[in-house]
Amino acid sequence: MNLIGTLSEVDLPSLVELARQMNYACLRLYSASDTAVIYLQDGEVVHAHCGLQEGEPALLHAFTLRHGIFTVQSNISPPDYTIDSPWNTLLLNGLKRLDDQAAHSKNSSPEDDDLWGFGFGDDDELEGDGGYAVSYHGENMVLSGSITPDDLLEIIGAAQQMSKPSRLQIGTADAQQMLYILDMDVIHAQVGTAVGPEAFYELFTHGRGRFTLEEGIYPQDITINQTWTELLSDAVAYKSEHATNGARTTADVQTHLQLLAERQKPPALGAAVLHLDGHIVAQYGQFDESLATQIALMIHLGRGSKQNLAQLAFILDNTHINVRPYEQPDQYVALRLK
Amino acid sequence: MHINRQKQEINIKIVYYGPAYSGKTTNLEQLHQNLSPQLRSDLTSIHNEGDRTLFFDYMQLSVGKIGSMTPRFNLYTVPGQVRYAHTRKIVLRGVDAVVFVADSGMNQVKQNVYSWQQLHEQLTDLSIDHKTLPLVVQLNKRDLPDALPVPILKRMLRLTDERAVPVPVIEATAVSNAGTRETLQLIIKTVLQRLQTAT
Repeated sequence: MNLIGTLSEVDLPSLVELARQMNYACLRLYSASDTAVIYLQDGEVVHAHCGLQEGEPALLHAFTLRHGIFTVQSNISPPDYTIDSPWNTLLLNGLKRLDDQAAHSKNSSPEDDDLWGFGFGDDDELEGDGGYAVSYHGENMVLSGSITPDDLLEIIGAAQQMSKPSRLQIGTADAQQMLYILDMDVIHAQVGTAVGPEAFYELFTHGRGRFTLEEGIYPQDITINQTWTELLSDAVAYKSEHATNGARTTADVQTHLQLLAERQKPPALGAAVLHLDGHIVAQYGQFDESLATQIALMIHLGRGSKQNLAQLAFILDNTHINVRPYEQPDQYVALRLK
Repeated sequence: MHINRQKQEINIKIVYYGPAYSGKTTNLEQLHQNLSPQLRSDLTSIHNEGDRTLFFDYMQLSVGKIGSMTPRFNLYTVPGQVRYAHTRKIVLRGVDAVVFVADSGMNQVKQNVYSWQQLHEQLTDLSIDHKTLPLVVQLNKRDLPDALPVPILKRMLRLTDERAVPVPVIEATAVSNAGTRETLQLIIKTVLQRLQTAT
């Protein structure tokens, strides 16, 4: 289940109440100033991060984001566990934070309230650290960012919430990789010269790169007549037939690393997938074996101090390193930030 | 359908169904304005403060003969707003034919699909077979600058699905009386064909 909407219409407590009905859920709030990401598991908020903040401070800050867009995505496991207070306690603290902010804003100039205003002009853009940017062409919303096959359903989910037809374009216009969505259905897909369901299967399996989702655009042709459920079911079958145990190829991993690096602000100098023994599985940008070995050592130390290592951040030779578990056992993705 | 043998009348109920603001009442208003007073009754409307249909609009029409019987077509609209689902279902009771008035506007996709799905759900609840019920889809507001193309609207409503006989589709701009009479003629023709098939 995926939802997208504007924070001016739905507040954070209502969103969390909705997400609490899901086993696993990830809430992303994008405002002009911040991006907050909140994870829920079994009805409780278990992790949040917002800029450099993590845990309850990040969640409390998220309460103050009143303008921007949100997405809710189900079945996303938390990468970490930094919050263990029950939701009712968090809610009370959050509401208190809002009251404090309201009291403070009474002493501020009226313009302060509109600093994060969502009613920006055609060229204004919001971009969060999740890599999605929102802008408007007239009344039509445009969502853009980077996409991998793993993100495709989230983006289609956003399109399915739109009240107008929409076009999802991946890569450059020359590459002609595009989907058209009408209500809940994908009604046209094109990848190069291929059109119809086969083109959708191809995008579903391999689609990655920069994307633009534009509201208010419809296709000249309708090449897919299946319902969304039927199409998705066929695409999953196609993917399982054409992928090798779902594992990424080396080229896929390198592209993924590039996307991860580019999503950082500022972009990371390098990124690598490392095995726990210190060897580099794949890399992008500035990364070498010496750094990899040191990181592996830090991971071992981290494991010793924290049983379920989910994320590790440290400085090596004046370089900021962020490490998270990757897809295979004993593999980690490391970002060399600055 | 109600047959009054004493009066030699067949009463046929046609309901104009569709989302809010799609132009159902406008259809009936234009028919009322442009049909001969000898053929139709007064138009009865129950509106709320915002001039939206509160319960239904109603007009009766008498045209032609079926054998020795006079068919009387009772035209109803339903309130389109989402919250009046129960009222719509009541108006649908005993329906003999439906005109689904879709809004061609670009930003009305969700409203059209929701209303279309609810029509089918309510017909099912009322034990009316929507696959055989005489049905015409009117794509209204074709004059809008952002009107969606007809193939896109047909795909939106999945008009090619399930029915052995394709659903007739007619384009209209009810506010300027384009397509309203044609829609009525088409649904009456469809009903009469069904009636002849049944007898």
